[in-house]
This record gives sequence, C-alpha cells and structure tokens, in this order.
Amino acid sequence: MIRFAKKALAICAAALAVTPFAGSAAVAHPHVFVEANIDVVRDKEGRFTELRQVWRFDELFSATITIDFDEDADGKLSDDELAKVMAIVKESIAEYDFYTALRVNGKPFEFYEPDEIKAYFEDGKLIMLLAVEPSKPYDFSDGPLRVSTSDTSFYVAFDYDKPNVAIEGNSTGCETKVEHPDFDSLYNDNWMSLTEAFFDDPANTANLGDEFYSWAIIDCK
Amino acid sequence: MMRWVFSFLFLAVLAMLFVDAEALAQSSLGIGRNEQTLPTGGFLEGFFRWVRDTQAEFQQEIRGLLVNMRNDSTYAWSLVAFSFLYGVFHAIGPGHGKVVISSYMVANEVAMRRGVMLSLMASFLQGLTAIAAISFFLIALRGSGIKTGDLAYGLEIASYIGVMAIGLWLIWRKLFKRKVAHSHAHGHDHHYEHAHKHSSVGERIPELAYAHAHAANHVHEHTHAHTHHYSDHHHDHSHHDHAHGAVCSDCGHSHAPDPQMLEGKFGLKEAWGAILAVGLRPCTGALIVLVFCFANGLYVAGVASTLAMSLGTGIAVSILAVLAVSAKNLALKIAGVQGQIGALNTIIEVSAAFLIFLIGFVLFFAAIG
Repeated sequence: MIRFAKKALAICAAALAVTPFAGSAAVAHPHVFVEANIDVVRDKEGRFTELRQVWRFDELFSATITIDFDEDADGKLSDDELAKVMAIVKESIAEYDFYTALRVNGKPFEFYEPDEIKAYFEDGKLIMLLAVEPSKPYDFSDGPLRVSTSDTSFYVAFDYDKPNVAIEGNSTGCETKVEHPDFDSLYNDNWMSLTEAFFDDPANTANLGDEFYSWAIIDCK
Repeated sequence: MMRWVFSFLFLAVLAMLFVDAEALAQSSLGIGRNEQTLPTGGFLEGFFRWVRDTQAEFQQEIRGLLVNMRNDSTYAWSLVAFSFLYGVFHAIGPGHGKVVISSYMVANEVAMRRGVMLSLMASFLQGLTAIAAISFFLIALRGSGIKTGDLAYGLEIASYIGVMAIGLWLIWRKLFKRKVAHSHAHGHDHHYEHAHKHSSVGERIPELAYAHAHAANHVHEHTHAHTHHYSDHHHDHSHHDHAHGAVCSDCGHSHAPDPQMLEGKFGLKEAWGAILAVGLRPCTGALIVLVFCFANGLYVAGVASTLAMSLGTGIAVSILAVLAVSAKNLALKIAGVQGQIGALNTIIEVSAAFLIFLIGFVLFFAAIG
C-alpha cells in the first residue's frame, strides 16, 4: 500500500515536472479592445427597424493597423489605404455575422448584411460605423430585443455597458439594460464540456452559447 | 516493465494536454494577427482564466498610460511597473517559452543558477527581438506591403522549428547517446576540476599533465567510464548521488559550468540553441507597445516598457523552471526509495525532451495551418 502510494506520488511529481503549467487557454485571449455603442432605431410606430453600431478600436491596435497598411509611409492612412483595410475587415467579419447577434424570445432574429462599413481615425483610434437592418421590422410584441456585439473567436474584446446602449427615434415605454456573462459560474459548471468542445472543434470556438456573451436588452412595452 | 507503465502514464498526460493544436493564425477581424497558443487542460482552466483576465487588465492599464504619455512623460514609471507585471502574467499565462525552458532544464542536468540565467536570457532575447523587429520594420519595410504581423510570423515559425529541432536533438541524445548525457554532474571537487584542466592541456603537452601527481589518476575519469561508487565518494547527501546523471540541484552552485566544459562546450552550445529558439519569437505584447510608441515618437518609453516586460517574464519563467526541476528531483527522491530512480530519471528526461518537440510541432503546424 505504501509502495503504491509512493509510486503514485512519484508519478504526480514527475508529471508536474514535465508539464510545467502548460499552455494557455481554451478560449483565445483577446488582442484587440473595442468600445462599442449600440443604437437601436425605432420608427414612429415603435418598431425596431435598424441597428447602428460604433466600434472604437484601442490606440495600440489602431497604431499597428496604421503602420501595417501605410503604403506611402506617411504615418497615416489615406482614404484609399483605409478602404483596403475595410474591404478585408468586411469580408472577414462576414463569417462572424459582423460580430452581431439579435435574439427575440431566445431565437435568432435575422438581419441583412450591411452595405458598407464606414471607418475613420479620431484621436489615434480607428472608428468603425456599422448599420444593419432586420429582415423585417419588429414591434416588440414577442418580448424584449436582445442585441450582442461580440467576437465568438475572442480575438476582439467588445466592451459596452448601459451608457453605451441607446434608442433612437420613438423610445416611449422602453427600458434598456446590459447583462454580462458570469464567467466564474459558467466555467465552474461547464469546464469539462468546454474543454471537450474545444478539442472536438478547435478552430471554432463559436457557439459557446449565448450566456458567454454580453447582451444589451431593449424592453419596450 | 515499470518503465513502460511510467512511459504510458506520461504519454497519456502529454496527450491529454497537448493533442490537437489550436490554429487561430487568421484573426476574425482579418487585420492584425492572432497568435498561436497552446491549449490547456481543463483542471487549471480557472486559474488560467484569472491569469488571462489580469493580463488583459494590465494591457489596458498600459494602453491608458501610453495614451497619456503622448502628452505627459511622468507616466513613465507606472508604465515600467505595469509592463513588468504584464511580463510576469504573460509568462504564467499563454507563453510557450516557460514550457520549453522548464522542459529543457528537466531534460538536462542544468544547475539551478544556470537555469535562471537561461530563463532570463531567453526572455531578454524575446524583448530584444521585438525591438529589433519593429525598428527594422519602420526603417526598411514600412510601406512595402509587408505587415508587422508577417515579420512576427516569420520569426515565430523560425522559433518553432528551432524548438522542434532542440526537442528532437534531446530525444536523440537521451535515447541513443545516454552515456554521454550521463557522464557529467559529478565534477564537484577541486581535484577533479583541476585534473580536468590539466588533462585537456595534457592532450597537447603531455609532460605538463603528468607533472601533477594526481592528474593521471583523474584523466581516466574523463573518459565517462566512471562508475557510481566514484560519485558516491564525494557526495555526502545520499538521496541524490546514486542516480546516475540525476540533477544535483543543490550542488551545482560553485562549479556548474565545469560539467558542460567536459563535453567540449557541447552543453553550452545547446543551451544557446534553446535560448535562441525561444528568444526568436518576439513577445506579442511588446510588439504592440513598440509599434504604438515608435509611431508616436516615444522611443525610450517603448524600449523601457519592453525590457521591463522581459524582466518580468524572465523572473516568472525562472521560478516556474526551478519549480519544474524541483518537482523532478522530488519524483526521483520518492522513487529512489524503491530503486526505480534510474528508469524514472530517464523517463522524465525523455518525456521532457519529447514535450519540447511536441510544443514546437504543435505550434509550428498551428502557425502554418
């Protein structure tokens, strides 16, 4: 028995020796930080007709992009240079639903691809403007509209809270709030299946479930 | 028999932690580049998440300080302090450097102090690579269509190939040239060292060597044919010395380089290989900071921040590496009671070498995939 215990102990210590605190994370850590504004547009009848977002990229990432795409090496991005950047961005984030998710009653609410993503620099920050239209107007009869701006690959970390959420147009009877994921309990409950999901489908950390993202909730009576 | 059991247990542990690389080279945004990271096993996920979150907080803090520094340079000291902390958390978190360096130390009989130097040098090289890469980029590559990320990518690939090569080299040496690998770590008394010096001279000027009374006696020991009872003679702590080739953590304090010299600077070259392989991959956090700083003319701040990150990473990696070697020694000590020590030592060392190769392999294919 003692021999066995010693053997087990030796194995544990040895395992520790060759696996020094391995690796990083099932979910990639973000490299880019974006402050997001979410504006829900309601028409006169109080129907949701458009979603407008403002993304303010952090100064460090913005500087990197400036240097990377600065073809004439003048230290800033011209309209042409920025247009090339945005063509790449649009094509790429299209595969991530433009970092945008809409839900009503827990179900996805469809929206059209945006025509154009506008971009400019302000105070050393890359700013993007994105507007999408829902496939049909929503009159809030089925409950609150939930909006999430998030990168399911966790490369970009979007940050927003109640002050970043607004209603444009008819805001009568509407309340907004923002719900953030409770990662502590999420991981405690799910780490086994999360790890499994990750190993089964390493390229796609997407579809972790809605509870892993922040949601702006627009509740209109 | 026990050897195989141990081997399979080790392979299982390795497989659990390292099968299936994550390939996120292309970022979801299309611009900027996502780095490859090693996936983690589940049971430490909570800890890593905390590390990651803390690191992200420090990164945000650094970002705020840098933005302020465009107008007010008094933020410099806070910048250096947070860069240091960022470096520490980077080392505990996603960096692969710590795993490679720790494993290298476990796979080799590297004295603790040497290992600390190894960790620090690899970390500083990572910082210097970042500084050199961004400087070079701004001077020579700006506007060329090549991205900073492309440059970092090239260096990463080189680093991963280097790591793979070192892993393979160590595996080959551990498995097929064990006599050489196990010949050192015994040179702890002065007579021996003395004789060593004379013997190497003696190859060229035999008269000199034989002028010393004890020299001839010790030259014999250099042929790597010494036996265990030889080492027993000049060790007084019994739990270490009956392991042939075991790491002797607390006796490497005064003559650490000597065993390496016995192998004709073999070990030293190899250590440099490890430092280079790890150091070639520039620290991602440093790259981001440097680009911003250099673009805004904050040259001193950028370099200071990078070096502070390197110091933080180096210290953290040193501690982790020392812990890893201590764990190995503990395992040997426990096993030593049952006389399993030789087999276990070999298994640990080969596993560590295999782990190094695996890390290089996984990251390489994640990077090119």
